[in-house]
Amino acid sequence: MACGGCGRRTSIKETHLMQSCAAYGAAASFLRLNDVGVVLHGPRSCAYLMDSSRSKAVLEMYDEGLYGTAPARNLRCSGMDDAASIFGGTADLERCIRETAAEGYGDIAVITTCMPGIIGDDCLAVIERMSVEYSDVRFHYVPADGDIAGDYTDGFIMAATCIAGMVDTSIPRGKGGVNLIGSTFFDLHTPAQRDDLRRVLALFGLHEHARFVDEGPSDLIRRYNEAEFDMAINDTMATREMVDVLRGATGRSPELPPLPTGIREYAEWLRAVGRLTGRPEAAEEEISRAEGSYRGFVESHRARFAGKRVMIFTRLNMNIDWLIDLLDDLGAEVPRIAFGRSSRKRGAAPVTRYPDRITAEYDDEGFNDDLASIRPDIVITDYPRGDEASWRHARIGKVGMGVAPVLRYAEYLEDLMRLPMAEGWRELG
Amino acid sequence: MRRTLPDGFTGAVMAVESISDAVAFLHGPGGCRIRHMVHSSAVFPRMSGPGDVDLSWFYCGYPRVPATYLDEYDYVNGGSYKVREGLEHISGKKPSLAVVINSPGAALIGDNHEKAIADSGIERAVFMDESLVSMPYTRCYAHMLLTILRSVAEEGRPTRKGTAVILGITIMDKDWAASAEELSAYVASMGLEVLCIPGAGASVDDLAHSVEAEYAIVVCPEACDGLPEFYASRGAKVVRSPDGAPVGLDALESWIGAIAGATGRDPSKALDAVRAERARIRDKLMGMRYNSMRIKGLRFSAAGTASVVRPLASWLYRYLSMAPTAVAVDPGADPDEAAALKAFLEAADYGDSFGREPVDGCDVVLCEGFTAETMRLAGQCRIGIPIGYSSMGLDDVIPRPIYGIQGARYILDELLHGVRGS
Repeated sequence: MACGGCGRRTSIKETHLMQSCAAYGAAASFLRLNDVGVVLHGPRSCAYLMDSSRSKAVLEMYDEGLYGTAPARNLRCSGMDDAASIFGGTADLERCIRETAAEGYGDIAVITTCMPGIIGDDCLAVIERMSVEYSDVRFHYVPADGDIAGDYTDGFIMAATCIAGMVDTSIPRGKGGVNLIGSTFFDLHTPAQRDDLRRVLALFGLHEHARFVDEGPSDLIRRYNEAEFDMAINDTMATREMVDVLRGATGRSPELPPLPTGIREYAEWLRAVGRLTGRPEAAEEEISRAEGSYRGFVESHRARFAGKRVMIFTRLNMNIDWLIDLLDDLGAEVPRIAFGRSSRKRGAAPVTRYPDRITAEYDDEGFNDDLASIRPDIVITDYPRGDEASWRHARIGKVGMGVAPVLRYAEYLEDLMRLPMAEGWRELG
Repeated sequence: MRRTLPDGFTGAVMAVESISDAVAFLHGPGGCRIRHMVHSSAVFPRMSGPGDVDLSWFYCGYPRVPATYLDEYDYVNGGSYKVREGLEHISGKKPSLAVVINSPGAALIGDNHEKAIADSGIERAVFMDESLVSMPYTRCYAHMLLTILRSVAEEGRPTRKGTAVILGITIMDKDWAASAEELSAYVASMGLEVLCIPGAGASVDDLAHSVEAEYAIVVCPEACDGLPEFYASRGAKVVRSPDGAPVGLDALESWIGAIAGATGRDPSKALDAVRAERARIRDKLMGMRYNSMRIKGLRFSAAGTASVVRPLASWLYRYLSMAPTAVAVDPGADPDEAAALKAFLEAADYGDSFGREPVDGCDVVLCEGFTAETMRLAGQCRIGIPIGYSSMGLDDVIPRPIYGIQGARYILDELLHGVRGS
């Protein structure tokens, strides 16, 4: 990366905006392991802001019974203050590590925020000293330095690299288990979606083994190698990087294609798994059932979509090929498929079968221009702008696996095109 | 169970955000912005329509807490250009006050905010010079308000008889607006005009005129640390209840009584409301019979601001016969409140409970929401009741505050629901 010092910036527009920080990404990654102590080296505000951002969503999933374990609160903070910024924070870090080790954690992750990064705390020296003193504790160091190392996903990948080092590569490969790899597991964050995956895996005599990385004990990560197969949860840049990390640590690569969404990917996935497991007939049976369901739905619902102008604008840069396929099959026009600017420090290209149809680095200005010129019948987007009263909008978020959730999503779109454009509460009086 | 608490940085930002026509302008990375902008929008929304959508690089479509989105370039070369540019943009919105607040990392850069403010041409802006990280949230919330008051409230304003300000409610309090409304109504029922509640929805102009108040009525001493003295220096008489914040019906009556005693006003309307509520609750619990009997003897852990936890623990003990197994106070505790709490527990033969964080195995945990909910989901308690920092329940439509009659109902609701099937 070229030094930015000589060409002085004069405007925020020369900044690559990052909505979150690598320290949070790293913390979020390790906090998914419910028996790892996470020491955040920085002020208490960082710990609070990270904990607040994460906890509500995670606790809601536990409340739904999504996980077979209990939630934990493993975030600790060195509590750097003003004095530390002058005299250094290593004493705070050491104290916090000692207190955390005294709680009995077998693994402790140390993650740095902006402050220690800027003042140059020698955290590694502290950790090395603590490693000797607490020889039964495994330490994992992530020098995220707040957002200096990058955005949330950058930090997540840094932590994932450490977590991949926890895998016990001496364990031999077993039978039937499938590891899932992903930076997020949004597509499996309801009990119905989780059960759907289990049902389909069971068709081939398979079952879920470990998730790299989702809520659960670190022991499953250690026993990662026990699984017979690996599968990426989605096909995004971040997950591809996770796959690379695991390949580097374990030598394993996914044998199963990514979790399929939509009829095309689902059929391909089923055939691939059928071949791998020697059960092609199970695959064809499921494909036949799914295709029948999909074709029947498309035929009976096409009338409401044919000729409708649909815009798509995603800032989460998910793989939405299933949505493009669905809208094409339903006869809708899709004049704009836009991906917002990647928040990753070094950017990340969208992953899609339709690169020529994608507008990358799309922004709000472009969106406003398109609203005026395209005048879409509906806009599918994943972030709230606040002006949704003036254009018809649909959310896009967790979808799930296979065909059924895609058809439910189509019904949602269909309803939204019939409902009032703006909810009544948006108007006063 | 370890609780994660906000600190002075959040206190400073949210104190500015509590002012209805002020803007907290964060000089810091996007990660420091997100939670503040979400929380401020959720608890104190001020959007009137599509015109509020600001898609500039400082707001990115979200209406509160614009930020400079610092990155590694800025840490090395300085980010003052962003402060100037951002203030130019913000000045177009004509806020009554913009306050530049450094994130912990930004504070280390040494950007010259005074120059940036001058260069931007914005009319009313100040900057927070101090680093408030890892200091108690409540103390810094109050400190920021005090800093602003000193800059906007002119000396020598005449005192207006029969008026009051209410101090010590923050917008991080659970359903703060409902608390503000209820407590203001009690004060008004005694014939006093509530000028404003500094730190809970007052405008800059309100703050400027707030020093005209005859009385400064304290709700939570920690959350207005230094403010009573300030108002006293401007001629107000400070009113503070001997029994802490108005949490639970006992402390609420005491709070009303303290106001009446200090002002000579008639508290009967306010006290009638509390009496009526007592009768209503009594009828309810008598009618529920077996369910209400399940509350007696429940063991509870309570943790939070001392002046909140003290009356809460006392009320649960006396009013509901619940056992205080762990009672902890947050950093920045008012020493008198903490001492009174300790004395209460010792007198009740629960002296060992003082200073204990929420314990595994108690029946009820009352503390900030994430910890309470985690403990409930982990089977470490039966009932988890969020009482602070609005961390859970931002999506409640029915207010569930901590203070006043509404607060008493909220806690009773949670308890009665929680003992079902026990």
